[in-house]
Amino acid sequence: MNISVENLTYIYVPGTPFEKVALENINFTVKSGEFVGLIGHSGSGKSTLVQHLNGLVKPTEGTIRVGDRIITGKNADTKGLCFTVGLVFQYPEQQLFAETIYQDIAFGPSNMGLSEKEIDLRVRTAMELVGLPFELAEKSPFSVSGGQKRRVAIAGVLAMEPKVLILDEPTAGLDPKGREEILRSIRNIHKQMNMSVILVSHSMEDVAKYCDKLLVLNEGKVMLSGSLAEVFHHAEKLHKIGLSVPQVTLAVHKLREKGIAIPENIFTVSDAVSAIMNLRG
Amino acid sequence: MLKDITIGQYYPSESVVHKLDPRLKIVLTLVYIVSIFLIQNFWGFLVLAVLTLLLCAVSKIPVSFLLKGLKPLLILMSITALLNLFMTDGRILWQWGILKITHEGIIMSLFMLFRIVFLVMGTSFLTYTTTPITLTSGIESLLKPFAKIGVPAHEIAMMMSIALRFIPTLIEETDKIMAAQKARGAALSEGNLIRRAKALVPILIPLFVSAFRRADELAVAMESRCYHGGDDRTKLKELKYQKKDTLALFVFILAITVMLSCNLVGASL
Repeated sequence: MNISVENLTYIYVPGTPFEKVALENINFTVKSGEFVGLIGHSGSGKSTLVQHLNGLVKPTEGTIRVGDRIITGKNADTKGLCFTVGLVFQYPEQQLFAETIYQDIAFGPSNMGLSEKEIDLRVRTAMELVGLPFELAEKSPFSVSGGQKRRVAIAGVLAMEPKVLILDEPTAGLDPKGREEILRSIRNIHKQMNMSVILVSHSMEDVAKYCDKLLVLNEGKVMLSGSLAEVFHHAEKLHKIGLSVPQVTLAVHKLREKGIAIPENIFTVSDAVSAIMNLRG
Repeated sequence: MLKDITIGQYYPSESVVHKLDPRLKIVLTLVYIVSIFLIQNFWGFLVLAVLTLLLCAVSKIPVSFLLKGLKPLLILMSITALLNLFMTDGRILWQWGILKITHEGIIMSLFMLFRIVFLVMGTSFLTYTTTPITLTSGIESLLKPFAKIGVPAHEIAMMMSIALRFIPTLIEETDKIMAAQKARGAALSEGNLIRRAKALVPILIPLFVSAFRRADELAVAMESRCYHGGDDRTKLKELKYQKKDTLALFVFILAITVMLSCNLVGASL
């Protein structure tokens, strides 16, 4: 499912002293099946932007197209959009509420009005996708570990089987092992379910490893967008707003400055390793 | 939504009123509340309206902001007005069954309406122009004399400032949880009362969980910085009663005098 955002502007509480232009003239597209990274500082408008895509926040100006739905203006009808565009919030484990993990994951599908049988199937599939053993289903979501809570919350969104999955910093506050596991399951989900994925992140290493395309937001505007190579080419521009390119890319740049003929577009450690091996022949 | 509630909010601005001693503002607000109930005719409200507009100008608070604060009270105001309109005996102007509108009823309902409007608008100046922190330190200072008879002034003030401090946090949290549940298709404003009440469960439970977690974290953070209440605790910002406070006091006395002297003009109700 294609998403396109055209001239999107959002103004927070207009007409009060707290008025703030949160997003200004945003344009971008996400094609079906793409894995897009959305980067930017806290306060750059990332979260506001992704909430536009599933209809929670409505545009002050501009248009959003999701598949053949067109969202424009304050009174746009966004009913049911959240089932097509699944949004996993930051620290999603803070939204858990049900008595059992099963019931919590079933909350989304049952809001869709699905049959018991279908819900059961979806809960099982979602738990498997995020790597939760089904034995946990009858446990309380408050009794499992932090990483597992987050998986439960992500499963709760996956169970709605959205066409587009948006994750707002899904690895925040997790240990390195937890981060790796979550990101790997997201990649598997992306491949297996052929979903488009938008990953909001701070970590250049993470987006470099998993995304095909990047979108950089700064102070409510799109600063850079394009393929990894196109965005990371502007290392200085990124540095100026306090972001960076992956460490390994920096190292490669340094090597090139020293006159070593290593290719420029290297964003992951494993790519760097094979490039260096190639150099040695 | 929640961000539209203005009553009890602080309105940031650089004005003389903002800089007055909070103790003075608290006491004057109490006097103001009493004096509103002493107004006996519409001239008093007319003067009060002019005074309110002047206060708006001086404190740089837009009138629209003040009026917005009345919105949550619309129901209360209409009930009061309607009750007074239909329940007052006197010269009957219109009657239908047991419902009747009297001359006195119209006047009474308008009078009550004005009373509520000015009560809310006037008292909201206190919170609009005083940050919660200064407000509580004002209350603490005012309660201090009662500490001798066992009123835990500091503790009350600390509890209040913590409560006030967490209102915006919890509102933000509520907004976030609501958004997260809506993202899973929760219908919060649909269906009958029972369905709506049920729809609150996915919001209230995470909210309670996080409130308890925050309380626990705050308690640990306070203890690890060796917090203890009590007498020998000093303050970063001591309250100082200044010249402009005396001036404000005189202006206030003058204003109230003018307002109440209207009781002498024309008939009282």
